[in-house]
Amino acid sequence: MTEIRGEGIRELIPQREPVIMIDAFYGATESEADTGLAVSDGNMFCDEGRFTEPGLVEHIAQSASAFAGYKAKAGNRPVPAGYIAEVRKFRIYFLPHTGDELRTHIQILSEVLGVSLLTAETKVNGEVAVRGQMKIYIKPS
Amino acid sequence: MIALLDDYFKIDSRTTVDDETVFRVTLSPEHRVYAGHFPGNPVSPGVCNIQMIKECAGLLTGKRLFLGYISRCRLSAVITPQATPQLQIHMRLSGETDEVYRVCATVRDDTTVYMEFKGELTPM
Repeated sequence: MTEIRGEGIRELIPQREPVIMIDAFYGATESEADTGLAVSDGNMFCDEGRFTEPGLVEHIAQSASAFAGYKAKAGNRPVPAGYIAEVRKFRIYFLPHTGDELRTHIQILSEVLGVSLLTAETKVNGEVAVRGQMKIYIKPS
Repeated sequence: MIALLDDYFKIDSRTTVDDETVFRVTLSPEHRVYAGHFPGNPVSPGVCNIQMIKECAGLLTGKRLFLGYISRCRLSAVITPQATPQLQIHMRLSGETDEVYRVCATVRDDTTVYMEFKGELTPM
């Protein structure tokens, strides 16, 4: 598939400015997806040239949201709202710099009653910045 | 630091008894995050509440802290600046060394627990 950017991303997630934390959707299989974010210095989670911890968590949560939105669109269903239910075993190795490109891989481990458990890994220039798990509650539409 | 402190929320009071500190806070419904989260339906983002915990811990330690590890953060109920602006953050910090602070915190009010947080903070 061709990657999704810009307006196409806005069609996958309910968030809007200033809290859109994903700008690329590179592709997906049934249970895995790849996303990205170019960290701009206007990003609300940037502080003194670094993309901070809440931004990293939100980027991963929105990657999961975009994946759910992508699957919903493919099934001709409306894009659902999602909430973070849990963050766990979530390690941040370093804070990316403004200007860095994040590449994130998420893998859905299970989906039960609207709650998806996923693992995520975010890299910057091939180096792992974040590794962790998240549970996202996807509100049934 | 990011101006989430005094911008996203303000601390109304802070009380320490033994090893637990309770911060009473008020969320600001005017914060710019709500324009996008979500349009017409303001919901306090879980990550902003995590940042709030981090900033309160920074006040307790007097240090700038990096959140390197979230052991478990459970968000059990939705916080909105309209319905639930007044919150209590109950926090316990332990750290015998200066290298790692272990933080346990709950975000709650008198009826509901919204978030339970366990993580590790290191001085920057």
